[in-house]
Amino acid sequence: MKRTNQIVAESAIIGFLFVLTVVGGSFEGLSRPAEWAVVSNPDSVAASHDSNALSLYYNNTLSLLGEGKFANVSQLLSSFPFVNVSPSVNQTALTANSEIAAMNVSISKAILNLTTAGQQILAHELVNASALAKTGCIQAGAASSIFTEFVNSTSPALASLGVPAQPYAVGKELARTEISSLGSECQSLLALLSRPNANLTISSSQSAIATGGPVSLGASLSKQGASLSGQSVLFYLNGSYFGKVVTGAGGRAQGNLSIPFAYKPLGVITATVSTNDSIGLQEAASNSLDFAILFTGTKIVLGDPSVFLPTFGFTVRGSLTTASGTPLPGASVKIAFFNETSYANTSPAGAFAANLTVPVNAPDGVAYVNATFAPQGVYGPSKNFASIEVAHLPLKVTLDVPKLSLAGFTTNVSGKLTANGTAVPGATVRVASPWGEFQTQSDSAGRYFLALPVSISEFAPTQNLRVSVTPPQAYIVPGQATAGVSLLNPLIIILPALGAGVTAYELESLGLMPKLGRSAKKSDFETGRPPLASPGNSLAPTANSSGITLVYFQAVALASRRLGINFGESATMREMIGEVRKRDGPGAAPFSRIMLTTEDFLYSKEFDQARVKLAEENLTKLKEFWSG
Amino acid sequence: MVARRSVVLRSVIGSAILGVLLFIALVNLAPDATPYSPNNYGWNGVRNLTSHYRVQFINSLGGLKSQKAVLLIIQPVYSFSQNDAQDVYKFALDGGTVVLAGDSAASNSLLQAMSTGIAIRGQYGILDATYNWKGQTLPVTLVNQSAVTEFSFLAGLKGIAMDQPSPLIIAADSHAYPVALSSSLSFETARSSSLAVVAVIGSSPSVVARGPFVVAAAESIGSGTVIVLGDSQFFTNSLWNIADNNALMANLFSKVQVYVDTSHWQANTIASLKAGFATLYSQASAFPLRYLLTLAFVGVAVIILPVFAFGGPATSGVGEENKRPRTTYTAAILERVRKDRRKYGT
Repeated sequence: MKRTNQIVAESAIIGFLFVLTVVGGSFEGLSRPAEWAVVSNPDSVAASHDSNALSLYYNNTLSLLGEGKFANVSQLLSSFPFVNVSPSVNQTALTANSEIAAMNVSISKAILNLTTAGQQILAHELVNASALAKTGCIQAGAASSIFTEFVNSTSPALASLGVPAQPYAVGKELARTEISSLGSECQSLLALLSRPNANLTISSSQSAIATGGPVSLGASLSKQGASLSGQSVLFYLNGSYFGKVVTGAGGRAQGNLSIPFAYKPLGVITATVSTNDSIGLQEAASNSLDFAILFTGTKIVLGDPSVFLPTFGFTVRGSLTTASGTPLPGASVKIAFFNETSYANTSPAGAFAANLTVPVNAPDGVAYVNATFAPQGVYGPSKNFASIEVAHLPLKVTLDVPKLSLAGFTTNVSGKLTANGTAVPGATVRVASPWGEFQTQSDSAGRYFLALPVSISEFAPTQNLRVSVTPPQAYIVPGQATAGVSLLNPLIIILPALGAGVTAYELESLGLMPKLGRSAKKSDFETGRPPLASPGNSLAPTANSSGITLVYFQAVALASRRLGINFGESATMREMIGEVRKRDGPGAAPFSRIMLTTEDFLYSKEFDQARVKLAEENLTKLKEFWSG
Repeated sequence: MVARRSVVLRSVIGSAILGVLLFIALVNLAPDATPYSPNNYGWNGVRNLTSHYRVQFINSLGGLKSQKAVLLIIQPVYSFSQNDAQDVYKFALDGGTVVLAGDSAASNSLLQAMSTGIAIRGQYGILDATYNWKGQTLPVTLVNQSAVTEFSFLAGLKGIAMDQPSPLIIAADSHAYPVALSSSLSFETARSSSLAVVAVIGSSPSVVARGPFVVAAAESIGSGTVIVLGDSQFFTNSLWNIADNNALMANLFSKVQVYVDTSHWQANTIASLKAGFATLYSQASAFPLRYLLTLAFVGVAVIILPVFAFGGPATSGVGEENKRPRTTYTAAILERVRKDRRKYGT
């Protein structure tokens, strides 16, 4: 087969495979019920910015602000990065957003403070009410000034950049109404709190009080210069009522009261008198007195718990007393164990208890339970500790791998888990391999098994596997093991062999292979090549073989040219001799001898080299016969 | 004639081997422009997805490992059979995450067969002039923060960008949650007019309804989750790196096996061919077929290689002395020569 023909044929076969695929796909597609969704390339969409859309965004934001939906306002503001805004407007829009965010904070705080102030007034906490009202009013004022800035400065700036104000007019009015109502509420509360009323003054000779201990308090009540007698004065420590005295002559009162157990360093005592319409007395609040709360000389006694394993719970118990042994009730004792902190309140007898659990990740060794009292105070803190011992069991992990694994197939790994000689069931086993991470669980005998798919693209001779095991029992230490896997990729053998075979074939077919056959092979088919000859049979030519074949080819060519015989490719030597004999009797004899000599050379086991010379003489005769 | 047949035979075998190798190489490496193709580097391909996560294209929904796995179904073209839907339902029931992104009728066939409370209104598209990443047809939808505690894949997300999404309907008595909604300023239009720009203020005849619309929903099934996105383009290269899309994909696909269904796409795409190869490889790797195939392969190679390497059947009659020209022959040819000599009397 000619080279060009062969290349064309091979290309046609390769092309045929692709045509089959394409045609097959086309036929398959004929039954498709619908087209793909008609969507366009986003790159072809022209970027656009709608200023009206930004106005509507502000309308939504301001409306929510006006409706008091502060969380929604925050959420809307946080979504601003997703709003399509023109770069030229962006900076001003960010300014508007910061103003709205500031108003959102101020308004919400103002509402909270003013509402709480109103509640404090109802609870007769006028001092607190006054402070809250003042704070609320400041916040309301801040919201008002920011809103004014937004309306008078930012909004016109946005309008000048093409963002119309009209679409957010509704939201703006809602916000304005909200801010205005806050201002009104603020003024109302301040007026209520500043109304002239009775004057209540309290005093004490002490500056410190032992917690739960006595305090001497005096009170003086008057209205517009006239003393008020027979009125109850109610005393509060840090807002909690703890006793009262009744004013006597001159509107004065004196009493010794016991404060409740307080465990903060500062105690604030205030007093109020209730409304008494019969004498025209409005509710009034006193000044406040600050006292240092003393709880010096406390001590904690902790019982040492038994030894417990990780994840197991235990109870720690103790008591809190003064140095002299007086129990401190209702005190909060801080219990710290590892990174966990909890609080336990003391009973009326000063006892406390806490249930603790040893953490899963607790390291081996001694662990301490710390109990601390009054961590906020400056006086009388006390602490103590107990200890437990934490211990984990070591995990023994075995990893068995095959001696040789084939890439492209699965390889089985297995192993066993034991701790303290006992199988560990239900453990999570993770195998990290170059081909992914795989997971399984150990069975009831502590065994595990995994089939790892070794990638066909794995050409490395060895790879490492690492097994990490997490036992379900926290008191067993997680373990791991590593092992190397020997690998063989069949493609290393198959692909080169296949490639070499195909390459050799192509080179041979295309005539690019170094010639191994007879030198005359190239032109033999023109003149009737012996059927035996084939590329695979070719051997290195010798001088003798070249001589006889040269004589043979010359004889055949001469017969073809002179007698006009067209020898077919499949013609045998006998047929050639027959053809020559028909056309030219005298020339047939030497031609026949040349043919038979060539035949003997080709097919006999032995060949006399002297016959080559005789064949050459016969060729000379032929040339003489056919020279005319 | 024998030699000629041998050459043709070798040529056919060699060409077929080369053709198959070339075909496999092209399927795996050659870029293309097919939608959702892993080899498509253009706007509608999923090259970015496949290069960042462990993605496997599959052509059968049965027998998938559901632990730490996500089944991604993008814009199915063919409706789901009851068996297919059962396979997907079982996958979710056993702990897998099913992500369906599309607006086709076939998508609804799956959702209905799985008895979810979610339906896609594919005939409508959503426009948003305010929340978008380029124009009205490319909205950015806001993540429902109240659903974050229910679905961990929403952690850290605020907005996700989409391309002409369709609204979803959630049945009132279902357990499905809306996880992403378009803004209250968005519009719904019929698909036929979805590319027309709608005025933000005032009325427009093409506007069917105003937002917010649910564009993504999730429902827990067993120990797994079904997530539905009304956007067929969500996982394509064009929406990569926009808004919080990458974070969502990281939440969904990191450290898990991602299966992409090709069995409901048009056949013979690069993706489906890849899926076919993967299935073939998987089946061939199964015991005991893998050993039989290996033996067969080696056997075929042993038979074929001599054909290529030596050019034909083995010959006999090699000469015994190197110094003498060696003559090779076969018994059949010698017999023919003898017949010729008898016939012609020579």
